[in-house]
Amino acid sequence: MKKLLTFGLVTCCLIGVDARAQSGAPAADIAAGQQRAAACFACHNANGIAQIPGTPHLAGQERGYLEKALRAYRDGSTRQEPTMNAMAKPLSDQDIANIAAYFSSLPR
Amino acid sequence: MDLLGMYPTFYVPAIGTAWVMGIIGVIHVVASHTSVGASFLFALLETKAYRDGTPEIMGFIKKYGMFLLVFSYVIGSVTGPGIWYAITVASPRGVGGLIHNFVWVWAAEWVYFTVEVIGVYALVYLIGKVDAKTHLKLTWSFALASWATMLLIVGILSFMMWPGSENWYQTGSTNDAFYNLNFFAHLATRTGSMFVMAAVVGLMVASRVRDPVLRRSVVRFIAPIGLVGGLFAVMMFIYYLQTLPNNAVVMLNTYLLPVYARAMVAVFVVATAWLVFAWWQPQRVYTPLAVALFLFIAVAGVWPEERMRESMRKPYVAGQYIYGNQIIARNVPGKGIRSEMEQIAAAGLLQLHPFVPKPLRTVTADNRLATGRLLTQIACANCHALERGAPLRSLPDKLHGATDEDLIAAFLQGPLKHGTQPYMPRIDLPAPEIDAIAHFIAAVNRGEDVTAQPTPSTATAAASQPE
Repeated sequence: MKKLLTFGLVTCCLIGVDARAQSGAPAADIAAGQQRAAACFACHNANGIAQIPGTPHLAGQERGYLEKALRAYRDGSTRQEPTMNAMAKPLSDQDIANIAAYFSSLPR
Repeated sequence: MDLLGMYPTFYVPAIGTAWVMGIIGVIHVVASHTSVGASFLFALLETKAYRDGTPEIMGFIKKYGMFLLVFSYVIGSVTGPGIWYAITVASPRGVGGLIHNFVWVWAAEWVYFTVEVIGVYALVYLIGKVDAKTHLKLTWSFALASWATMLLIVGILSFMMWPGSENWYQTGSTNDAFYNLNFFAHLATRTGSMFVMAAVVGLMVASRVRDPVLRRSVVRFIAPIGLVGGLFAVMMFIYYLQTLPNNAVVMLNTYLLPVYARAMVAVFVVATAWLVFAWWQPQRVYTPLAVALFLFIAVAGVWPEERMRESMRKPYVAGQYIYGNQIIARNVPGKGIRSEMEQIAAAGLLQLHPFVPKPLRTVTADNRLATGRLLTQIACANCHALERGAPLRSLPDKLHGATDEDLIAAFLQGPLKHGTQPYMPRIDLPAPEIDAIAHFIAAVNRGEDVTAQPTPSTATAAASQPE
């Protein structure tokens, strides 16, 4: 039973990695994301657990969702929110991938 | 050119003018609460002595009164004006705003203070020289005058937190400002605490009383007063927490309680244990022990309480209309005060602040670091130290050591401009000033020398221009 479980987990991980590799997204650099995100920590905190009411926790958040949200904030057409529109504006595609990777890597 | 009514302020590295004021203020509060609390202890003790016919208690009152005269009144009288000097260079406009509201309240406070100071001299030196009933009346007058000084200053201090309703903004009335939402809770908390302070200091004095019977009767009298005062203070503090504005509640839960909750509980437990012990074993109230516990309760009890109250009202310095950085944040029709936010957003601080050196009036490629430093000092340094690792809410640390200028600027244009963090002021500045601030903060976080002056050519050119 234990072996089967391990096999299942490994398979899932491999498929997950494979799916990421095929999606064509830039390879993410968690350390670079952490450095670039320093100003984000003022609200979202370095551990991704926000302390300010109304500010979401980002620790362990779904990586694809974070990327999508940051792109939408940067474009400012579908997600209009003055705080996040301003924050996302200077970010490159690579920055977005890195920052999303950083926050999603944090334990919830 | 239109200028705003802003004043020059001091910048104290690492601890800021805030802690300079805080340190003086804590010493003042320890001294003044002890005096006010002691005045009531005297009145109650003397009433007991008068009724029971035990004049030897007057010996203790004389001893304690002399101690107060030498320590409490001298220290209180030096630190009181010290607070005035400190706030004048820390928050000149905030003080101005308070004076325009409370000038007669302060005048009244000083009248009572004069009565209090004359009262303590009269009380000590007239023991045995006037009849007991006259002296008792004198002591009660002294106690009421002492408490009146506290009542009046608490109205002003609690207005600094907020008026609690729209009334004051519309009427500008001193009564609306003074009887604000958290006035009674604040007054009651301090009234309870003053009995604790007085009891703790009283034990210190009682430890010097040689006659065991007198010591026992005095200790057994003041310890329960301290205990009841402490319990009352805690209950009123919980009530006080319910009278706070939202920005204070967020600040409290996010930053202050995690740091200070333990110290506050520790002080309550230690003070209670000490007073119970003193009541139980009056002969074991030794002087070194009494002094050590006084110092612990004074420092660990008063510092967190004062620091919390000062921190919680951020971003405002007074009445939720004037920010710590002197900027008027909203209209107050009752006082004819107009918000300066729009004007600053359009023209910038460098153009509108009267005390900006001429070469720094406009941000240029050469003076970005110097203008950034000056702007950060004007806009941020009332609450934030500008050095990494500094104890007063270090600004570089609050931005988690960010070195990317574009993202620091984005933070200023986003969260700060739109007031996302309830305890931060809205700071809306023109783009060149935002970039200069971001440039400065990034340079600090990169560990660069940020004290560089603008290049001589720029300075000379600007200085040679006609005024």
